[in-house]
Formats: sequence, C-alpha cells, structure tokens
Amino acid sequence: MAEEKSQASSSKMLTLKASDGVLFEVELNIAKEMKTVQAYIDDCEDIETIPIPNVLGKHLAIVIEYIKKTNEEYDAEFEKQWNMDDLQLLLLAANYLNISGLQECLCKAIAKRIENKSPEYVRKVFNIENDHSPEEEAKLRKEYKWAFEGVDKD
Amino acid sequence: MSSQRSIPTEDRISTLPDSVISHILSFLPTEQSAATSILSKRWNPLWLSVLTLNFDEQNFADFATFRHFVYSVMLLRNITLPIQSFRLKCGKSSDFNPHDVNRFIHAVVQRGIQNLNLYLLTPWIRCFKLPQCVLTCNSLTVLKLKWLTMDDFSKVNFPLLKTLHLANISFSKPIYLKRFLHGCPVLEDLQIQNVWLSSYKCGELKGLPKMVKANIDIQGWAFPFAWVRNAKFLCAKLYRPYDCQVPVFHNLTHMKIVFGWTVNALISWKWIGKWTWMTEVLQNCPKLQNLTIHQHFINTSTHGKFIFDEIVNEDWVDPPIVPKCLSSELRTCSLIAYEGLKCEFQFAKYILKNAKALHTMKISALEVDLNIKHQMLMKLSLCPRGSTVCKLSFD
Repeated sequence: MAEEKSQASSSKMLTLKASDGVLFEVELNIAKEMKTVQAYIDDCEDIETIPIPNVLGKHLAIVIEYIKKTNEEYDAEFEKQWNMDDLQLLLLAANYLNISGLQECLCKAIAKRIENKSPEYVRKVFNIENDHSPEEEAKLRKEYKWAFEGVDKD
Repeated sequence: MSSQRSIPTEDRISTLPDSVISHILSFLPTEQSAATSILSKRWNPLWLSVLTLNFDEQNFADFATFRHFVYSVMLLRNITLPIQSFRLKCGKSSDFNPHDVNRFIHAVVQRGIQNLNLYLLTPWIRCFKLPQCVLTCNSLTVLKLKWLTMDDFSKVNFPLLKTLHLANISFSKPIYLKRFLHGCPVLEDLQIQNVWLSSYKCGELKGLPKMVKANIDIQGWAFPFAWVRNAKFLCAKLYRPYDCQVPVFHNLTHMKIVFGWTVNALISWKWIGKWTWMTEVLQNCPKLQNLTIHQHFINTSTHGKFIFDEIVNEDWVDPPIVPKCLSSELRTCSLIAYEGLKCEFQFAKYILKNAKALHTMKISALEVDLNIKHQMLMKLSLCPRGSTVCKLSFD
C-alpha cells in the first residue's frame, strides 16, 4: 500500500471485524477517522482486531473506501451508487462508528430521496408504523395542509 | 419506479438518535420537514428541533400563505432554540410585503445565526433594502445575498464571516462596498456577481488577509483585484479591457479567466493586447500551477467571427522576461473555446515552449468541423515543448 507523505511514521495496521465475520486490514490513520474505533484504541492500546458488531462487511467496505477517497467531488457522486436500503444501513454504520463527514453526506442523500414525496411513500421507504389515530392524523393534515400540496403521488 | 428497492422489514431510521433524524430534515425545505410530523408520534415533534430553516415562497400559492407559514413556524418553534441557518427566497408574488420580510430577518438575527441566505426575487423597481440589523450580526460565518439594495451604513461587523456571496446587489457609493469588505477580516471565500455602484473609483483596500477563493463576475466596472490579492484560487470574468493595475498574487495556484462580452459592448469592446495582458498577469503569479482561459463569446452568425477576426488579430510579441511561474510551477494550462486565431495560437505556443513543468496543455476548440480541428491540433503539436512530460490534449 502506497504511503502518503503526510502519514505518521507508524504505518501500523489494524484489523476490523464486521458483524458477519469479514475482516478488514486498515491503516491506523484511516481507522482513527471512525471516532468509535479511536475510543476503542485509546482504551486498549495493544488491540489488533476490533469487533464492529453492528455493521456488515459489505457496508464496512464502503465506509472504509469513503474515508480513503473523500473529497468534494467524490462526496457529490458517492450517494448515487446506493439504493435507499443501503443508504439507511450506511447511515446507521456512520452513526455507530461516529464518522461525521460520512454522516453528513448520507443525511443529505437521504433527504434528497424523500424530497417532494408523500408521507405514505416516506413511511413505506423507512417502514415507519403510523401510530396516529385517524382523528389525530386528520387534524395534523389540516394544520399543515400546504405541506401536502404538490407532492409526488408515489 | 425503476429503483431497486427492497422492502425494509424494520424501521431502522427510527433507531437513530433525534439529532440524526433532525439532521436529515435539515436538508429539506421547511414545509416538507413540517409534513413529517404526521409520519408517527415519534416523528411528530422532530421537525421543530431542526436548527436550519429553509423558506421558498415559490412552493406556496401566494405571499399571504407563505407569510402565514413562516410566522407559524417561528411561533411554534421553541424560542430558546437557536437558528443556525436561515434561507429565505421570496419576492415574486404580487402581494409581496417587505415589512414581513424585515420582521422575519429581525427575528432571526438575534438567534445565534451562522448561515444567512437571502434571495429576493423582486423586480428592480421595488428592490428590497437589507435591514441594518444584519450588518452587526456578529455570529455570521456565511452570508449570501441576492437582489438587494444596501442602504448607507456606518459600520459592518462580521468578525467570523468566512464566506460572502453577493449577486445583483447595489451600493450607493463605492465606499460602502469597501467598508463592507473591511468589516470581514477573516473572509476566505468571496463571490461577487454584478454589484452596482454609483461611481467606480474604489480606492485602496488592503488585500483581504485570509482570502482563499475569489470568484468575480462584474460587468461595467473594473473590480480592484488588489482586494483579493492573497487568494489561492481565482476565477474572474472580464467584459472589457482591464485598465487597473494587476496586483501580485503571492499565493495564487489556480486561476481561471473568462473573457466575456455582451451584445451592448460589441462596438466598444476592442481589447487589443488581451493576450499580452495575459502574459503580464502571469508575471504577477509566481506560484501559479493551473491556468484556464475561457473565451466566452456569443458566436452567432450575425455578430460572430467575422467581426472578431478584425478586432482580435493583434501582433504577438514575446514578453521580455519569461514569467517565473512558467519556469517551474505551471502544471496544467487549459484553453476553452479555442478558435485558432493568430494571437491565441502564439500564446499557446509560448506556453508550450516556456512552461518547463507543464504536464498537460488542454485545448477545447469551438470549431465543429473535424478537418479544421485536426489542422489546429497538428499546428499545435508541432510546437516545441519546454517540458519533456507535456501532453497535448485536444477536443
């Protein structure tokens, strides 16, 4: 792996173990972008394999790639490759691992995908259970009626 | 719907903390964020804790409905909750009332606002005046204003302002523009597109010390580039011969110059010596690595090339000293809307010969005919190159 000139002299490698057992070897400075991992390292200095119980290998790979490549251009194109399901799982991963740049990028992407969509669509896509009573919902719809005009019938 | 969407079996989003859901909502126009209140009981209050407000009158039937919404939101929202970012776009409807907008802005500047974006769509005749309270809103880090008039003021205080974008703004006198910029000591990103002044003598202003990126597009008067002399990135669109002194840009690594012209200027626009001026500019950019020159002419058959051939064909003279940036710094040079006119070609040839560190010379031709393009390419590729690694790219 090519060393960037700005890296610290220690090119220590770390292993991250995803929830499905997939292992990833990453450089220390990449792993440190994940604040959760950083905290783990701070607590136990000699650790070599860090378990990431909430994130599948598939998504951890994407997260690691993001950290390596992030810049204005990359971020703008990043979200286009993933479907809504993956975006949500990636957001959960970014939140768990505490990576603010990735979290921002994903929040923006998810917002873009629900923009101009009806509440029914949003509920479906996020699988949100509607626990409002019909009366409560009717009342809310009336109060915010301008919000429901002109949305995509999806 | 063509997107592959697997039906989720669990509500994952709701497992995220409120702050993350609010973060998603912060990217939506506020009325859509409000609509999420009906999704479920959990979601009901979340939109009111979003720290960004985004109001666009164009999403409402008229100004009356719009103002009703804005007032409602401001009242529903917890008064102690700060407003980090406020974006307001309005002014199109015939029932537009500037007093309401004044009240919105007053309410907002007291709430610790960092990012303020005002885009007035009002036609010029009833142009909206920026309330004075904005000028002393010292928590601002980003300010973007479009289609406003600046009233006379004595002081501007933006100690934290890093980004300033002004588009279609009129100041009564040049001193006010200067005073405005003087109140932004840590400014990094400046974008100016069409600023109108009553007269154009701007006088001296020390270069903004923290400048990183400047984008200047002004018709009708010569912006004093000395004000942005510390920038690393500069994009400037020029509509007429620049008759002020070009400062030394000590930190400039990326420069884009767009030579534009407007139909009105057709008769008066005669910039003979434009390419010579370009080389003088290069003399003043010792660290320049990346140069782009775009000739943005409206190339219609009625005005077009016929007239320009006469105006633009000046005699090329090699500058007396090779600009320092060419000897060691310039990596890429890009000429957009290249027409193969004599002086353009001479300029490209001069760069190819003297730019010892050049990686890429990129030419984007205006011409569509493949034969003519091929001839242009051939002519350029025969030019001697001062850099052994220089690639000529032509499209």
